[in-house]
Amino acid sequence: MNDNKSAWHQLSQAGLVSGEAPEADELESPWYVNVILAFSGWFSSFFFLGFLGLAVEIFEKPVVAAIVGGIIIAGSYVLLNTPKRNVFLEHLALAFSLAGQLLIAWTIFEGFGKAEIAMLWFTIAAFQFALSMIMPNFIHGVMSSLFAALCLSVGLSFAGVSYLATSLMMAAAVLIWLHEFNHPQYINKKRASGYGLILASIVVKGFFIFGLDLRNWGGDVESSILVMPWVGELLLGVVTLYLVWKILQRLELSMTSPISIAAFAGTFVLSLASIEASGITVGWMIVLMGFANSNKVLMGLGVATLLFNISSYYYLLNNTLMEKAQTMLLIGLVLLTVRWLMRRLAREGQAAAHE
Amino acid sequence: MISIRNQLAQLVEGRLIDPGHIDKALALVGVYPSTESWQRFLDKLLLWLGCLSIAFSVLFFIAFNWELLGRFAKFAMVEALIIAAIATYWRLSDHPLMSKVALLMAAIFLGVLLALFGQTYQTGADPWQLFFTWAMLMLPWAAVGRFPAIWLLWLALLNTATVLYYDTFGRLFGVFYSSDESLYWTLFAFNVLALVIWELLASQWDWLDERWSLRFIATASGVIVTWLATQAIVDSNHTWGVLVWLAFTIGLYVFYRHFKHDLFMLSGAALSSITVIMVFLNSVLPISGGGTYLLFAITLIGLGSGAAVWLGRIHKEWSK
Repeated sequence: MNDNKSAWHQLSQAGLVSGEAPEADELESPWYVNVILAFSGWFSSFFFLGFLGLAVEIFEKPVVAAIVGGIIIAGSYVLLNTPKRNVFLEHLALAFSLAGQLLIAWTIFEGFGKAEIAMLWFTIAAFQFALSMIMPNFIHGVMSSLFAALCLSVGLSFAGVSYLATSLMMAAAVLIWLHEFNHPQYINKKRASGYGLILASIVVKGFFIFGLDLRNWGGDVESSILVMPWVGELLLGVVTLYLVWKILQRLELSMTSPISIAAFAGTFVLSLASIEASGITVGWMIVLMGFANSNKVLMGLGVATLLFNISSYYYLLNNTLMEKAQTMLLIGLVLLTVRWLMRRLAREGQAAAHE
Repeated sequence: MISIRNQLAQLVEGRLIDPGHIDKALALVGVYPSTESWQRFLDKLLLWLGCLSIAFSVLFFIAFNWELLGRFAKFAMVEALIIAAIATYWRLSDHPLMSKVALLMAAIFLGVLLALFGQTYQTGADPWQLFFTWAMLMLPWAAVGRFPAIWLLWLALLNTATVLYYDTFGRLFGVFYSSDESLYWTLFAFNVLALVIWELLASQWDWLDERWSLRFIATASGVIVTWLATQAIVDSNHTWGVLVWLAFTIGLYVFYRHFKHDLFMLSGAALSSITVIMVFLNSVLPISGGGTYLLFAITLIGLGSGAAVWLGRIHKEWSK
């Protein structure tokens, strides 16, 4: 197909590749066919697991559950390892794997109930992380990294440092996405982990916005000075500045060019705004990461997150609507000013270049 | 069509680019945007975010003061929105998409105006009358606009009006069995009629040939008739449900397989058939321990894979 040749064409003209253009991939099914197959796969596995649950008594002892869970996961590994993509089998295997994971998670909680609860969550997170590395399937990778990140944040909550969660996840996501193409054999795994981490950040941030602190999943934990909410936003702001700095480095721009100044100024303003209207920083970061790699999916996710967070700001009861209106007006005016400054500096730069 | 981004990913995965040259390659084909791209992007982004912030600020301000606004101020605001939308439609007549979206917004604001009217002057009207009046009033705009989305809104409004009518009166012209069932039959008949008329007119008028609008209507009809069929099986009182479902499914298959190629409709028909068959199995077999579940699982696996293979074959056949 011609489209595959166009990228190849440009690259070979620049001398970066040589030889014949590779063959394009085969025909893909449209998404709605895959949806039907996915549903059938999931429901089939529900019935099969129902049969299994009735036939074998898995909840008697943790050991039995662990063994059955392990076998199920091994089975889905085999199913997912086929070279030719079969959507139905893929979703069948995904549902099996999920059931196996639940069994193992149950085992960990039942079997080691006496241990520190944060450690239990960290163990599950590690297990999920291992799965995301081992399982040869993109959707599974996204699911497992999502679960790993969520379990990690629950564990951190129980350890008393809940506000670190989002910054850690976004920092990891930034590192992964900025180096998306740099390790050929890990591209798909990286992308899966990248998406999983981003989704987890959105979910955790969403929880914080609605006051559902993950800490409340089980006991009270004292908060210390280290874990004030604004510390979390501050850390996130630091990660964002790092992201902006890395992008500027990639473009080989000086830190005083109009674009750099606009970038840092805009980032700073939005980070401050995010203390008031939580979640704006996360959305902004996702949009930037998406554009940096021409990833429309990420950009869309970022825009959706921004819109969702601004809309949910309406419902937060900390301030009156009047104060919120004033905050939004201020943010809007500052953003437009930054834009005007950027254009002005760009024009002056061009005028200076012409002379 | 594979995007440039995915093409590069395939090339990198296939080890066809020297590791040292990957970054340069990505910059060359534009996956890593250039400085100018970033400048344009930031320019647009800051503009959108800035205007969005200010728009939200105005919205929050109005919401804060809503109680204190007089009724004339409220009406004036909504009417101004309608006029602004129509003006946009008129001014942007050389941008086909934007002007049509403006007309759609005008139709939506019309509904807001009617709701405000009903809320302010307690007329004692029934809820269905709001939607019905809305549909009738926006009909000229729908005819003029030639935008499938506006017609879709119109159909949705009539559907909603029907549902609300049943809520109030419990029957339509005093016919049919129980009120619940007759509601579904009416909705099904209405939507299938809309589908048939739309398909017929779409062959005449190009602008009507919007696949996704038709798929939407077909999905609505399909869901309703599948529900009716499953109810018929479970109740085993009336076999009409199954017969009509059969007729609908066969009709879908014949039309969209041979006349107008649309894989989505065939997929929907497949999903509907699988659902009905599983419900039928469930009603015929008694639940006795794990064995029945295993049978269900195997049947569903068979049906699902069968549907996959069949649809895949058709897809390949049409792609040649």
